[in-house]
Amino acid sequence: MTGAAKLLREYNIVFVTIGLCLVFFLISPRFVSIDNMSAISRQIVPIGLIALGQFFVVVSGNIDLSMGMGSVLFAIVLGVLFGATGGVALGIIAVIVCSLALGFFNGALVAKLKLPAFIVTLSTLFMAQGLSGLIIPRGQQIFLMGDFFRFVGAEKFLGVYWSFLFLAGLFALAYVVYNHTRWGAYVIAIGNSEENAKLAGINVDRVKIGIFMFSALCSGFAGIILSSRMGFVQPGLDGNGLLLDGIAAIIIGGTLILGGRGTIAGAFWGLLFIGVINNALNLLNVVDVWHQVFKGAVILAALGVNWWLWQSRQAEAQ
Amino acid sequence: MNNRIDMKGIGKSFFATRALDDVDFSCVAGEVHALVGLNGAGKSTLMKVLGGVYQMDEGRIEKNGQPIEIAVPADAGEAGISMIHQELSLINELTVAGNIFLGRELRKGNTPFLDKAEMARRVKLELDRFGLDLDPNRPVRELNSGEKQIVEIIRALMSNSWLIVMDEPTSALSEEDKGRLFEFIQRMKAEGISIIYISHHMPEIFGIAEHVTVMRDGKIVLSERTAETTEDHVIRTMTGKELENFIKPHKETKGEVILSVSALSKSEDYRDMSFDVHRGEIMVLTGLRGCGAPELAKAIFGLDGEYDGSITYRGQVLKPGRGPAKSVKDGMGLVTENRDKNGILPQLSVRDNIALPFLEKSVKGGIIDSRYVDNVVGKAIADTSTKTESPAQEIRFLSGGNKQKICFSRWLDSDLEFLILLEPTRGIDVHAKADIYRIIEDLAERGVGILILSYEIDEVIMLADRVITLYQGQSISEYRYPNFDKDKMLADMAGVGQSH
Repeated sequence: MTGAAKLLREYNIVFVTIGLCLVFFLISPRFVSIDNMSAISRQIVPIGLIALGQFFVVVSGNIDLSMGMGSVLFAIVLGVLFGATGGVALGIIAVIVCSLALGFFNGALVAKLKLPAFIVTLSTLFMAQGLSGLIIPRGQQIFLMGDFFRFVGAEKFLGVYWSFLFLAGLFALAYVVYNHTRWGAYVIAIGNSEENAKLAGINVDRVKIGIFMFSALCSGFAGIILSSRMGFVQPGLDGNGLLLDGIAAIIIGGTLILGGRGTIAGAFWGLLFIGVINNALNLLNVVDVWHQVFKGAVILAALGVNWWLWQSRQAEAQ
Repeated sequence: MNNRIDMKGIGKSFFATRALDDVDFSCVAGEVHALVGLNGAGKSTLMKVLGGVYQMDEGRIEKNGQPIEIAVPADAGEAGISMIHQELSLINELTVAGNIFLGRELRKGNTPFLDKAEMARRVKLELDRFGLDLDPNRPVRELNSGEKQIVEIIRALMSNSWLIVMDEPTSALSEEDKGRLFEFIQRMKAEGISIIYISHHMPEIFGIAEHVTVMRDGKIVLSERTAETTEDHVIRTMTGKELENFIKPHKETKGEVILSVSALSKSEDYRDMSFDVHRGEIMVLTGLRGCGAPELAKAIFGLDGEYDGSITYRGQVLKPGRGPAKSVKDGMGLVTENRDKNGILPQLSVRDNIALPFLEKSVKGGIIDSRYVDNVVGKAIADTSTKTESPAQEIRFLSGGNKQKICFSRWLDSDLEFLILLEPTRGIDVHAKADIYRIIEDLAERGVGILILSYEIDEVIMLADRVITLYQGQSISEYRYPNFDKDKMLADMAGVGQSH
């Protein structure tokens, strides 16, 4: 295999994303304006938080379907406590506590009761959805006004949204944890072979519970940032759309859906890819239904290519 | 002082079965101790007792003369005992050093950060000590099976093990890797490491082991310095009896030609193969691994259409690569060499596994006639003397031999005309082997044409009506029953007198 081919295989998502940007630029030069880039950076934050939390879950060979509706539930918890107290401190603490509790519940059921993560988190997805509607009846909403929400949702530092800086910082932290601490190695080990990880003396249950607590915490942050940007919360928010965008981002970024491998940098590029598509299709005024169809086709193409590349690597390893 | 382990008077029963009976076994540092025996002789039970996986019923284990308790695998680790299983327990996506230090990583001082450089350095030191050339920073997924095994052994050595149990370590290794492993073993011996070496290969055992212990039916039947015994003697004590419960029936009858292969070639795999198989005939292709016979079988079964030449079946030329569904419809069957991967459907019952290929024939008006299926399944289980609790039992719980019988019994219904068998008794114990030979003879008796690929010379001679030897994709010679010259066959297979 030539160097160029290898480069293309390892970093294909980078080229694809840049290529996609070029195409959109040719269609609409407005796409690469500073304003629009800035808008993209803000739009991808909630998806990015979901993607980051989901990354560790997927690499460990699991899935957390409750992240999207979890975000909606946590946003509503924040909104209700804001409405009741007029402050955000209690709301933020409540979101952190509730999200860690949900993550512990998911993780404990997966680790201790040996239930498939798909089953557990599908169930908690519905529970989160139901609880959201219970707290605020459908059709109603709570408005979020004040310095905190403006700061999180709209303020910039040196021209960059604070929320994006927060996301970038979290990705950097995740990079270090994934590549330079025991915890990262254990997540990979569990995703490759839970049995072998156990044989090496790793406390697999504890790592798994930690992974789910982290993913739920990420969805808590996503809920706070999403609701701050919109300025209101309501139970009808599309949490599952958020979840699927997050999963698509990491898979496009080369995370193996079967678990065991993936890179943080890849996940970040996958996130940009999803952000670029979402933004461009809005910008180009693609009718909403076609928007989804087109997005599906692009994702299929990107994922298909990744899958083939993975398979060819497998064949090479034989 | 030299370490030693003594297992004394070990007994272990599983329900009514006496798996280990008053077994004495010792291992001294700096020695290779070979442990041999047929499947089910008790080798792995004994090693599991030593490794803390099973609890013994009677007896005791002593380390350096002091009684020790090995209740869980961690106790074995504490005593310096490590097991290297055939199924390696490495994490493919981590590096060599990452695997070796998995679960007991080194960190930079008191920080949570891994000290990757230091871990790599220590692994490199250990590799150098044994003269092994391997980059500690390479991901394990890039290594071949020989290198992976080395990583696993180094991991054991670096967790202070002095006694390593290796279970058939050469089964997946190339010749080159075998040589490297043996050299490594010699160096470990010199460093005072002790090895219990489970294997069936006499030349390996007599090449590297100081001591050989033979087990049969849960007992030690021979324990001797290798210098004071012979390969033949070990083999005889191991089997106790040869395959006397199967004797090839003599037969002269020969039907019409059912399959005819003419000038078949595929670039790298096989060249200019021509032969006929008659109804009721057992034709065996044999050679070394890589001789091209499995690829040839694939072409005949319609799995591969990339060949030159022609295959005629029941008087008609077959379309290349027509697919297995068409072949099965035409009365052809295939039993693959890898039953767990390509043979059985592990989640399904014994019944469903047997029924699979003829479900289409059992459909009446779109509905599966389950009484018909039950009949066929019942008969198949009886015909093959498969040991299963019931047809409803999931097949994955059966032993290797019984799984293989089921792979056979799928094809026992009366429409079968031609059967291809790839390594039909690979990894199967003697008794199941005899059953399988009997099934093959019965099928031939019924007029089924049979094409077998086997790498075991004794099996070839026992089963074949006709043998073709292959070497690097070319047919070398043909033998007819009963004129089988074993030595000459082996020479043909090994390429003696061939140009390259």
